[in-house]
Amino acid sequence: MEDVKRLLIVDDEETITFSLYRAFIKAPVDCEVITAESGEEAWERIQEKPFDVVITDLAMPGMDGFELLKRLKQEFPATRVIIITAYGSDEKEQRAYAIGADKYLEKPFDINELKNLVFQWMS
Amino acid sequence: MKSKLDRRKQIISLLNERFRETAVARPTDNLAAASTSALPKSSEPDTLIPQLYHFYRSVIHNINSGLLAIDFDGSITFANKKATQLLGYTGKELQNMAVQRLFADGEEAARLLQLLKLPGKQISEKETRFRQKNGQVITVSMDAAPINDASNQFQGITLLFRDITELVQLREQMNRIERLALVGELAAGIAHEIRNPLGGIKTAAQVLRDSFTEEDVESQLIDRIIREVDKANKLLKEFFKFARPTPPQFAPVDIEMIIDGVYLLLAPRLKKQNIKFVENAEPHLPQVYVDETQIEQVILNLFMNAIDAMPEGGTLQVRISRRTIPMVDESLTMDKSPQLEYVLVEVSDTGTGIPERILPKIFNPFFTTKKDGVGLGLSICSRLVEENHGKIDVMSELGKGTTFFIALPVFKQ
Repeated sequence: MEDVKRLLIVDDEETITFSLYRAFIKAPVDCEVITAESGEEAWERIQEKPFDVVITDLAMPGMDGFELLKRLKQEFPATRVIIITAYGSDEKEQRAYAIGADKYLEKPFDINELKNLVFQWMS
Repeated sequence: MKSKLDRRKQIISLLNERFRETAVARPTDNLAAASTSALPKSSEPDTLIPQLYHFYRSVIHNINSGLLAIDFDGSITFANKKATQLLGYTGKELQNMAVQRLFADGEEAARLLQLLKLPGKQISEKETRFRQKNGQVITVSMDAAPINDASNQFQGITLLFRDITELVQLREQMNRIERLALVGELAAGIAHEIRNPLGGIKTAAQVLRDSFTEEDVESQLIDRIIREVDKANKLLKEFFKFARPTPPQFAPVDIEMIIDGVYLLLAPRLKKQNIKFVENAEPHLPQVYVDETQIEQVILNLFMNAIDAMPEGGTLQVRISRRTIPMVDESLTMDKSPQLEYVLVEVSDTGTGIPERILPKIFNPFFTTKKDGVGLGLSICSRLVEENHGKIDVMSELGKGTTFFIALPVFKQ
């Protein structure tokens, strides 16, 4: 079992990926943080090597967060997935959980909540 | 001057009409039963002319449109019975009256008359506004054609017109709903777009926050940024609630319970502002079939507006009554129509009133007269009432107060 945990952050909003990257590289656990700007790019990274946790936006050009979540839950069921979205609704939340999301957060979210969750899963 | 009671009757009658439109998908058209009685049969010249005269006179007087004949100079030479009813004048009063006087816009009348003097010119289904004898303006759909003599010389004009005031009001109502839906969609789209950068600002600020200690002044500034972002997000969330109401969850509800609930919520404010609350509910009211939360939101909004309209105190009155109307307008049918029921809620204040010129705009989105208002309250009320298969209307008198009328469908077992 590897000690270094892997976290993937997927969002087409660069401010989000950059800020989250900065937040998680200072993690108390040994964690490799990778960012992707689209669903397709994320899926490539995942196929290269699985991740422990994936944080993904929903609305992205091309492959959206739902599709990425579906593929992850089918092929990498052990990966924890956190959905973050600015286009939230009750229906989207229900759909995300139905597909297998581990957490659903609406933007702007509290980064401490996100960090606690990720570190708890990684530790 | 029209009394408040007449205006109330008029609004309720209009509400009946609109409520019926929604409740009855396709009313039976009994107008087809119109008589096709035969033309005069006699062929004797002595009797034929009087018979023809009576026949055409009867046809002209009984058509369901106003008919006016106008001479060369624009004076009225003939008005049928419907024209006198629609205009409020007697036939005698109309005789020799300048037709321009009937038009709400005198210049428009002059233009039309000039136009009709041109050879072969006709006007069909022109929408214009007539002023009745009592000063009230009605919208009519008008056909106009020249009257020529045997040698084809211009002699005057015939005007055929129908009162389409209610139709126009309905059309405006529909346009308002469509506009509201469109603006709501657009605004909700923009609001979502704003949440993305807000998310970025908050995340970046929180990451930056970790670089400073509690004591650093930077921390305090960053905390302010985060707080302001949260405030903006809260506003957006409120807006979503208004702009994209969830589909109504219909259930049988006691309307009095909703009113009482809202009253209890606002009782301290009413007391503080010296506003008396009066509720008159008819006994044994039927339950209404609506989304409780949404109608509660509508009542709350109307109460808040009433409170704002009475800064010096006053009376907030709620009247609730059961209304029964024929499913089809009986004046148009030969038979008795099945009945349709609704509950009418009237919310009145004795406040400042709404000026007549802005009254038609108050349900428009983003229209507000309040300093801190967004202008969504009444437009959302209108949308919520419509989505609950109800109708909303308003009457107001400057300096005396405003009454909102809400018709809600009754629960049928």
